[in-house]
Amino acid sequence: MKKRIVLFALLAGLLALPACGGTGARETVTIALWSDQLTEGYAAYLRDAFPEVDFVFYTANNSTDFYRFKYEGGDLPDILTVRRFSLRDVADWKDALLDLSDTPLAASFHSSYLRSYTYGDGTVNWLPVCGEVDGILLNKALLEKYGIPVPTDYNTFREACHALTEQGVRPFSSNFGADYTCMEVLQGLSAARLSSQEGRAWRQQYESGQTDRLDEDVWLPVFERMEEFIGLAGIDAASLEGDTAALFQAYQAGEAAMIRGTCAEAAVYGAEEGTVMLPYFGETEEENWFLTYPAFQVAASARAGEDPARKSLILDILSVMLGPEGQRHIATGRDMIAYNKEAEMDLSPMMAYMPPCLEGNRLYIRLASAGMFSISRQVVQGMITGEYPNARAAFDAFNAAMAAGGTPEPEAARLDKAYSYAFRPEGGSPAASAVMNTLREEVGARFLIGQSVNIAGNIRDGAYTAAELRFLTMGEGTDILLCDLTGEQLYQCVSRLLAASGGRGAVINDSSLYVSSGFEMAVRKDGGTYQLERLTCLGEELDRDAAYLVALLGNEVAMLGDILAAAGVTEYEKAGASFQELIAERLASGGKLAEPTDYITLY
Amino acid sequence: MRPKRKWRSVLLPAALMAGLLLFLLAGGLFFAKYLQNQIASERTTQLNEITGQVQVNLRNALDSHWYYLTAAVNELEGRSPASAQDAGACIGALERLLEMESYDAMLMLLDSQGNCYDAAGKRGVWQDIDRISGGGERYTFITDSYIYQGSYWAFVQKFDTPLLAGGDGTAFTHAVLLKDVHTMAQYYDSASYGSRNETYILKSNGTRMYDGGDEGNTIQAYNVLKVLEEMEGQPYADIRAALDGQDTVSAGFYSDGVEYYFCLTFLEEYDTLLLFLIPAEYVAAGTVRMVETVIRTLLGLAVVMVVLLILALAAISRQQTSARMFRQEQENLRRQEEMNARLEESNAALAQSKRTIEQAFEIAEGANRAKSSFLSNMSHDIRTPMNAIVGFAALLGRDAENPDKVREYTRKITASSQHLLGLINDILDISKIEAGKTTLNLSDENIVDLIENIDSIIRPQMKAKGHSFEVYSRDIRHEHVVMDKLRLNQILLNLLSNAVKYTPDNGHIVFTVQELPQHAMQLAHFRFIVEDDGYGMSPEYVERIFQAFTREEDSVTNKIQGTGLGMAITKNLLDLMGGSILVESEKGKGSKFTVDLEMHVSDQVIDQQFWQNNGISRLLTVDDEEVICQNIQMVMESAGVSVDYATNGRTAVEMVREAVNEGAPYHIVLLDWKMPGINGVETARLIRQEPAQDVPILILTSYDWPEVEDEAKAAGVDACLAKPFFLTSFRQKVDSVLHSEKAPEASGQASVLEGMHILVAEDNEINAEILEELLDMVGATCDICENGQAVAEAFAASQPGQYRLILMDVQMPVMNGYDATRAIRAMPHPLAQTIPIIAMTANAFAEDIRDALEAGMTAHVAKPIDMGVLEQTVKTVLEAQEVLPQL
Repeated sequence: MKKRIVLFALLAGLLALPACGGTGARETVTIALWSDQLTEGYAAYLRDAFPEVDFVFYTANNSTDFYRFKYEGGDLPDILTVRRFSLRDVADWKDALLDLSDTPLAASFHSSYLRSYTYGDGTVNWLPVCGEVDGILLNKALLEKYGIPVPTDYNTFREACHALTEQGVRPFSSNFGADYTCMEVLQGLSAARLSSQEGRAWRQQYESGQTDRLDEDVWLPVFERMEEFIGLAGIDAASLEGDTAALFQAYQAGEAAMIRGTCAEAAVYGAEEGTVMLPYFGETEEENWFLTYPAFQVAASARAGEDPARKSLILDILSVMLGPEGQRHIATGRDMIAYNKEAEMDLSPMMAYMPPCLEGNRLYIRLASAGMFSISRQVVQGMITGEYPNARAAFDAFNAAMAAGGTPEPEAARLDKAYSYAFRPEGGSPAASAVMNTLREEVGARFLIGQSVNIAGNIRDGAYTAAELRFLTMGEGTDILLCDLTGEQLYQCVSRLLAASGGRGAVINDSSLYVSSGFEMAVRKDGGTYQLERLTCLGEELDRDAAYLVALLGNEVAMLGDILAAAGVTEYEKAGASFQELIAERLASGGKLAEPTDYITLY
Repeated sequence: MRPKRKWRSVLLPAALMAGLLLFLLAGGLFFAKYLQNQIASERTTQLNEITGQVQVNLRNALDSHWYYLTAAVNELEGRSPASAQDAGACIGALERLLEMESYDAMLMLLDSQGNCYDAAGKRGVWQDIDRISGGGERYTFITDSYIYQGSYWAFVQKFDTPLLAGGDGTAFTHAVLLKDVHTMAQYYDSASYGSRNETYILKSNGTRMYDGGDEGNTIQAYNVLKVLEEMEGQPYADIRAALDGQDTVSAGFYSDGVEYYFCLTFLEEYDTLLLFLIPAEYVAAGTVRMVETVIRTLLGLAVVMVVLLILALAAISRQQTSARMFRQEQENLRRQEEMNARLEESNAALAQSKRTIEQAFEIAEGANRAKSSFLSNMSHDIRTPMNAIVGFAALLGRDAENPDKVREYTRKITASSQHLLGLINDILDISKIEAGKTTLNLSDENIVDLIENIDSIIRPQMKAKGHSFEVYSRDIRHEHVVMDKLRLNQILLNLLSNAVKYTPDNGHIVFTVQELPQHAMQLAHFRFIVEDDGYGMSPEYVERIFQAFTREEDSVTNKIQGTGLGMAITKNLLDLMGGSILVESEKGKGSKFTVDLEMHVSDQVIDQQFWQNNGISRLLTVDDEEVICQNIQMVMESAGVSVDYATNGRTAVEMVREAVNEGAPYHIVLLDWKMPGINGVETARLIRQEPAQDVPILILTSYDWPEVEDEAKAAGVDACLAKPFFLTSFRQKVDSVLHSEKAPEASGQASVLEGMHILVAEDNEINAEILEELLDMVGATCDICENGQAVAEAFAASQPGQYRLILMDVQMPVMNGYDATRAIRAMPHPLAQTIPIIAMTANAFAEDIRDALEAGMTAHVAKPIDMGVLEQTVKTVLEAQEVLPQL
């Protein structure tokens, strides 16, 4: 009798297996990473958390416009991540996304946070991962060196700036070439005003679409403060040119005492030591505000809801992405504000000035609509360059830009062929190969190597606007380094790129493998690692002694610099034009994408 | 039949059970569904009522807090804080004034920067500042305050004019009253459900208004309403739409297998949905318990009914089974009794068989003894005639020269030979009968011919012993019947021969033929009675008279020659014919043998029109025995002839005279010969003297006609008719009289064979010589052929009329008698079809006779040749040929 029961149980178990685990076939889930910085650890964390899932990663950008583009092309990824978010920006295609309001996932959030993500009908599509805190990074040691007290409010900040200027130290610098810097500094400096009841009332009207104009009572003082700040901090047109890495280098070198940024950025650029994060100062300490925004928001395609098993899997992945452990794989994993009930805040010493603002609930959430980014850059840069000589002019320009609205862009290019992003062990990704081959042609290198994740998924055929052409290629701080390499050096570089882990551009899985152009790679996959077997050129073994002009696409600071150094290469040239610009301009000028080639054989 | 009955006995209760169960099931389902609907209705109604009540409670509670806040705002507007720092003291004073602590409420002020102030002073930016930024004057919501830890109802009232702190210019824009959510629960937790209900306070879009307060709740999701819409069994796809225009919406649903009921109501002025949810078991629990009790009771009753039915059916089944078993037992008992009876019968039969066997054994022993005795007798009986034959043959040789001696010796040799032949015939006959090889040879025959034949055979023997022999016929309606004439002849001759033998000389013997009433249309029932006044038999012998090889040992009868087989043959033949024989005898007084026999009426048509055709419609019969007259009257009237009778001659004469005078003369007069007074001859003479002297007159007599023939004819008698009266004989005799064909009366002296030339087939020379000599003795000549072929050839070569008849031996070389007869009958010879061929063979059984007739022979005579028999046979054959038209 017992035997029978055991047999029955075994049989029942066997029958129940498919029900538990689906058909047993591996699921493929496409995740668009809002930035290639998520390749550093976050994507690998997901890969390891779901070994039964074949993830397809590609890089998106920080705008929901990219996803609108994907949505309009019928090519939304399964999971979307985005940095810049405004409910207003995505409301018109919300039904293409999975409603999470009835899931335990949404229930795990504080309702006070969820309110910002809830539509009037109760739908919740997007959920925020932990909040990043943005403020003024201060080289405290530098101030101490000059005996300047750490500012505590705007008045002391003003005094410090004067003192630093007198010491020949630039009080504040930031990359005002970046739209987010322009916008965050503009809003951050007036966070108290924007958080006043007047400011909130206007914001509510703006976010609900009731107004497209800045309220003068609220916003004119904002521009007045910005105008004063530009002068106070010594911000000039040069601030529009420098890149973030160079600015951090200058900051670390003591050339600038303060820099806008996050603790994560300080960590990435090695500026943690001696740095503290100060709030955006108000007139009094009680009016100091830190600026916060979610590290990114996640959403899922509504396709997931069509199959309960698939939906369950997607929700599991979202849960892991939003959970405390996932939070630790974002940036440094510290100094984040948890929106989730389960997560706890882990603040580094840099955040020593954070608690009073936290206790006073003075965490300003930036107004981050897409328009606000672009117009802020335009207006702030105009203020820096003198285009808008005073606050009133800037205010009017801002309003004028807002009133201009988004006029439809004309068609800039038309692609005759579509290319699949899907990776094939025999040949690789056609979309990535087409872009890399095109880029190699553009830079005139014999060989080129870059990571597939910098190609934003499938490439559809048809018409593209200029903005959409930039959606074909993605990457934050993606450089093109040109150098002469021997075959042997190229071999070493490729080998190290394949083996690299943790850095920006690390290979996570097949979908994120490097793409070669002008030569072919034979790669052996051993568990989760990839080993280069050999390199060939048109099928012939690569001559290790011959020298080749090679272009490397990637982040110089976070990856390529070290790779080249390890191969004994110290001299290289960084291409003047960005990766995205080269591709977009070629296509916009009537060029075509080069034909893809079979660039890899994966064993 | 039994399996069917068994099936019926099972199927009927099963069908009843199934029907009842189906009824109970269907009824139960219907009733359960009905009750479920009723319960659901009751629950929703109750829930709606309670929710409505809760709604009112909550609304009242919220309104009352608004009253407090309004009061506070009024008070604050009257006493504006001097500075931000003074705000706390101001709020504290106001709280005390309004005794807010007593109902767990607190006051806050908001400044234009979003900072909040309570009794303790400034508390930072209020987290819900966004929620009051819509431009409204009043807001009511629930907030998860991190300042006070917990969830609070927030009642926010915007001042009409911000309160400006005198010192620092802080502008207080809103007054806020916070009320701990849990302290509000008393307004929406229904005591009716023992606080088992879950209350969700939702925004109008269905999302949760605050984090706290839902621990352990059934729905944990952020968008509670959407989850509710997706719950199993929940009927509304869009609950908010369903709520539109209604105070409440309620329905049931299942969550993790548990049934719940919800009720949703909208507090429009607070933009708040109040969702009331409770496990179904607590809703209308009393009603449910009552219904469950009813269901349990009904279920119990149903179970009891089913059990009772089952018991009843079981009882019926048991009863049926018992009845069946009882019947079975009865049947078994009956069978047992039958078996016992059969056993008893068998035992009885066995006993009977035993007795029968014992009797048979005794009989066998008796038979054996009889045979021994018989053989002993036979030895005596055979040796006696053989001794006589041998002895006299020897004496014949010695006294050959003495003609008287020779005649004397040959007469005795002949007598002994005849006896010996009879003895041999009987032995052969009985052996054949007992061997079961005897078959009947049935043919259409005339009973009259039979009687006449018997009479002609037996009467001489009667006469030889001086017996008076009377033959009577009574009520004969069917003269033509189907019979085995030879066998019936044998039976009757046996009886009559015994009567002759066992009656002392000058005895009186009566032979009566009577037709009894019929048992069936096709069967004529005849009774033959032979009665004598002879020696009679002892009763003991009568019992075994029909046993073969028995003879009564008697000093008298022992002297009478007999085989002891005659009666056995008679009995066996009657058994074969389906007849019976009754023996009545008394020692010294005589015996009476009564034979009853049914014979098929012949299909042969009798010419009933004979009398009419010949104008005969009146007949006068005269006999002193009136019975005979009545018999004649009955027979003749059935033939359409009216009969008058007279019992004496004189009356008869008178009647003839009167008939003539009346113009209706008799057409025939039939007179008995021997009558008191004037006899028949004298009467005839007197009639002839009457005017109608030409009427045919016939004499009916039991006596030899030749004795009175001359005298009768002289007296005017036209013909003589032998008694008894038979219609056929009478018709034939009348016919011959009317047509003046006076048949030559056979002379008693002359042989019928005289002058005949006969063709004889005989392969045995001695027999041929004897036959030739015998024929020569009666004046006939013959040609002898040694085989059948020779005889056929001789006949073929003969002239028509050369041979009057053919005597045919059967067993011959070259060609036997049967084949020779067929050959002759097939010849083109003019007389081939008609010449009489008489079998003359030692094959003397009935089968042999039948075979001979079937081969085409005319008659059969057994060897050794008895010239008397031969002459009689030839006479019969020839007479038959004369009667037949074709001859």
